[in-house]
Amino acid sequence: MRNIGRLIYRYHIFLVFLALQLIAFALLVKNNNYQESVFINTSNHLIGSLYEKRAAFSDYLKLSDFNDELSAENAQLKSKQLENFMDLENGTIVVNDTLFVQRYEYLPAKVINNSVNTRNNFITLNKGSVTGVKPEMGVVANGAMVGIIKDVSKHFSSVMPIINPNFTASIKLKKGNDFGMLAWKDKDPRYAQILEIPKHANVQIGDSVITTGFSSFFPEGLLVGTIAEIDAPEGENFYNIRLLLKTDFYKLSYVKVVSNLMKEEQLNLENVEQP
Amino acid sequence: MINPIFRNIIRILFFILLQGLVVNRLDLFQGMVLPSVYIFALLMLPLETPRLLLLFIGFVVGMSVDAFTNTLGMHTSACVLLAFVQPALLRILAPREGYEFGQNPSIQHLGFSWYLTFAALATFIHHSALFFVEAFSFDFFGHTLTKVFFSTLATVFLMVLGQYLIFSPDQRKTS
Repeated sequence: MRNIGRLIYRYHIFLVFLALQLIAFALLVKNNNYQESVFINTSNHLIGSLYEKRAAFSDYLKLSDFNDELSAENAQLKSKQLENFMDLENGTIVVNDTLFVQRYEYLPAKVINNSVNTRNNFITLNKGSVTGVKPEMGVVANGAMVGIIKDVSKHFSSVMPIINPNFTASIKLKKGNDFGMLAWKDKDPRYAQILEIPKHANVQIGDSVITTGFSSFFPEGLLVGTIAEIDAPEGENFYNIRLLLKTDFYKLSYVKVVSNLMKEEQLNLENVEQP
Repeated sequence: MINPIFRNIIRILFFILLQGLVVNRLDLFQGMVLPSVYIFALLMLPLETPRLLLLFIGFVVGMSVDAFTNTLGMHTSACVLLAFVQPALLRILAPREGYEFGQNPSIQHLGFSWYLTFAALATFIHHSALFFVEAFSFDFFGHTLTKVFFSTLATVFLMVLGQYLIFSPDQRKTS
């Protein structure tokens, strides 16, 4: 017995080293899991507020870019206003009916931290559960897909962007409506890959790729990007397509969180067991 | 003179913040060069630091840096490895007459070429562990290895620069 004690004492440094490495790898594997939430991450209050302070500094330098973006969006919205439309049928009566029910709601948020150059990229936003952000909500910027909310704290949330290897989403071609899967296999934050588009589909470089609306994260028809390269490997049924992402992850600063008001309903229906 | 324990804690905190808030934002050559300057604080720990304490400091520092990048475990693993091999490295590189009491592993005390060897070896070990754990496979072996090489260069350069910034020339003469 005393010998065992002596043995342990002799190698205690190495044993502690092994134990710490095991903990590190356990954390690593656990954290790589898509839905698993962890207590130490960027949605943590301390780190989040540090990032917010830094963002306040660096945003000041980007003010002119923000102004351009805002005025472009303003102009677009202005042109959709009622007074810009010509009345074709004078005398029709407007009736407020209940044919339309709001399905998606948008919540503005600011990017306070953003990584593009690591293999597992993440974005941190300055909105959290207090303002209604929940895990598994979609995130969009300028009408294009950005990612999905992963973790939420009271005042911050972390986003898994398209440029994270664990991200997938169903997408379709705007022309022809063929469905595929979006995945990020490159190390280049400007591009993503499309899988499972069958070879009989008509695909051309420059075609737009949009969301399907199958999942409860994003509304249908949201722009994802345009096709940059098409490769048709021999002996396989699917194309290898390289997609130029619409979202510029280098310059991301303001985003909108999509909240699907009918998500519960959809999920409940889909989860009903078949008789 | 500030208490060395206190000074080391301040230094570690400063370098964690520097890494998390400034250095991680650098996007050099499309992510090919990603310096980890915070290990400077680990390498500056006194020669007399107990090995067990060193391991735990490495663990906590790695965990804090991971918190900034949502990569829990990655830097932790690399730092614990570094903390484990650091004493062995110091023993191998010891001058013939051994270290004197109160010496720091710094250019000031042990000279430029000694520090360069020590820093380069330690950084290379840390960065190899870091980037191979990040890749979690040997799939992109060449790519990861280039990343290790160039990031090590950048980190060592910054650490040598840091040495000269911390110790002014007159301070070096007097001690």
